[in-house]
Amino acid sequence: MIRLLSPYVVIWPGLLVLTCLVSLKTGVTGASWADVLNSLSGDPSEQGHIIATYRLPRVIAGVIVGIHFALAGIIMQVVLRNPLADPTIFGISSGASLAVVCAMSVSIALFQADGALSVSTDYLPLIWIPYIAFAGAVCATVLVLLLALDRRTGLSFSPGKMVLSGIILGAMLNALVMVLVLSLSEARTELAILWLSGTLYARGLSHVWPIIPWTLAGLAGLLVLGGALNLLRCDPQTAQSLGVSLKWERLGLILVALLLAASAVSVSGPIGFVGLLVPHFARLFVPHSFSRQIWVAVYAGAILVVASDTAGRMIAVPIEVPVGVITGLIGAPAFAFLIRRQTKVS
Amino acid sequence: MQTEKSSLLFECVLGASLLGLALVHLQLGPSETTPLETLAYLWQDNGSNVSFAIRELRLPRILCAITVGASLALSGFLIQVVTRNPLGDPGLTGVSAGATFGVAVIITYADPAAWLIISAGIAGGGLAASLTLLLARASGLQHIHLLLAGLSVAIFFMAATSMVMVVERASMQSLYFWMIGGFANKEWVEFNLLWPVALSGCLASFLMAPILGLLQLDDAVSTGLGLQSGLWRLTAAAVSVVLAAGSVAVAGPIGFIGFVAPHIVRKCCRSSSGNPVPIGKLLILIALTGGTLTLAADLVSITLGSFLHAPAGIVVVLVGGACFLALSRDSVRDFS
Repeated sequence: MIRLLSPYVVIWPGLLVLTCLVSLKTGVTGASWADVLNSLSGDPSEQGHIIATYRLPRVIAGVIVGIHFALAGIIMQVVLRNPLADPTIFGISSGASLAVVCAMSVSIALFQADGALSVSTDYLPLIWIPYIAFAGAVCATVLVLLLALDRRTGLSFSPGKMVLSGIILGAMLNALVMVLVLSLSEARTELAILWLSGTLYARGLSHVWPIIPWTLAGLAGLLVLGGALNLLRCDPQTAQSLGVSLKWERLGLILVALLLAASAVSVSGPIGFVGLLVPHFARLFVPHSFSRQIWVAVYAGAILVVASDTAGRMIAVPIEVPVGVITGLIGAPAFAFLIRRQTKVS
Repeated sequence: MQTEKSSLLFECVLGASLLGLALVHLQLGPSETTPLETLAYLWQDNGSNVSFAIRELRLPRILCAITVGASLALSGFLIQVVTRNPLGDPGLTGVSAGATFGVAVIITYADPAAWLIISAGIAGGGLAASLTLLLARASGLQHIHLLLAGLSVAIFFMAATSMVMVVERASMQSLYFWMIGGFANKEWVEFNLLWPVALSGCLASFLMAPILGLLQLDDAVSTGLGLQSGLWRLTAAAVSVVLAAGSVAVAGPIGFIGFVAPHIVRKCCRSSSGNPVPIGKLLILIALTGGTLTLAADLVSITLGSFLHAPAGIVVVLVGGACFLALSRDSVRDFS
């Protein structure tokens, strides 16, 4: 009973709900708190309609994407033994983006005759997009890991090189995404923003439904492999002396991280730094309990994405700053700080 | 002897490809001409459309590409000397991104004169360079730390630039095109903005050539020779910021040229006898290589243009990034 009432169980969900409510209230058409609360209970007024049909699905998308990126980040940081790991920094999100944009370009080229161009972004059935993104993410990961493979010591990856090759590879993949987006559909800037910066603009329930199975699969994978994840936090020698090689578990965990990150990218595009920041933040709050770190990361990831999206909508009404730009502004200084700390540790 | 032979061959190939590329570039476009006609149009304006295209559209674009490439290459070389890091580049150290931010701010919030644009670029680039150095200082400017610090600074200033441009309602498309860099629609106005900065930067680095040679030595040695190495390092860094800022103001942040060009020159001019190339000649070769590479990238971008929208900056990122990944594999030492 006492554990249930402990601050982590009350405060974090409370913060998340509060952030979501603020996000529901914020927007071009003003709304009062009463509107927000009424709309949730089926209010027929105009504000209520806007909130229920546009903002609520968007907030839900933000929460789910945030959870995905946060979990992907925490898994990658532990499994790769790299405190700077993040799906976007490692170019994995760009790989997913590129795969989706490639598939879109092909389908546009194939179905152009049917006048499918009039449909804004749905050239592909939404249900396929996570699979395509996953394939792209796997390819990008294999590339980054190959580039960071330390030839002298066999199967180990150098942490700094992983980051360096990830960023450079990400820039190259982004360049390809840009070429495809801008040459195949010149007027469609919303596509460029989505697949290069990451945005929740116009994301609705139709985008969220296809990735719910992926969320569940990721959580199930995390549940099954959670023990291994906990063991992997020890240094390799300890794990070895405990008699576990964990080779397959590591592979499985990486796949879970990729699955989560890729499906998130398929909804919102590459929102950077969430996976990097949130695990460090969680470690700061609950340094000793790994299972609680995961919970804090889940909430903090959701809060970070929803709050950044809200801030992006508040800065320059009626224009939206893409959520990926906001997280980049917050994330880059934190990234620099973490690099500096890495310097002092080594 | 071997050195001189291979270096002479390199010089000939470089000169020939620069002239050849420029000539091909001049001919490309909707109105076709033969090489001889092209030269004739350059010599004399006969008022025709073709002549206008060559003299007013293609020539300034070519000159911009060459000048930007040369500036970036020299800027990269200076950064490599100052930081003793063979992977130095204005893009990878955040200087270009900082300059981009400065230029974006001044263009969106004021209607500035040419010199003001360049100054804003220099201010932004200088700010970014100091940030990067400050972040990487603790590690004694080791390769990997310097690069990662520079990249984080670059990511920050790119995000800040997007922010400024989105808030001021620039179209996302023009934003992305500018942020990747290219030479479409560059005319004499842009070239007139660029050449004074580029020229003074180049002259400054040539004047500094003997000192640059000494800076490549150990700090203890160069101090022993009576050089105020700290002061000169700062000066060289400032010149590299100016060079980068000028090219960013005109063409956007084109990455990797400053890293690739010095590498090519070093690879091609060094041979078994091990005699280093005189530093002044090295600077000229690096500038020419940078110009040639950028011109080639622009040519590729024009050739692809009929079916793919790929500005020169994208071509450079793809090729330069691949070179970087290949070369950094063995030359970067990791944390530890």
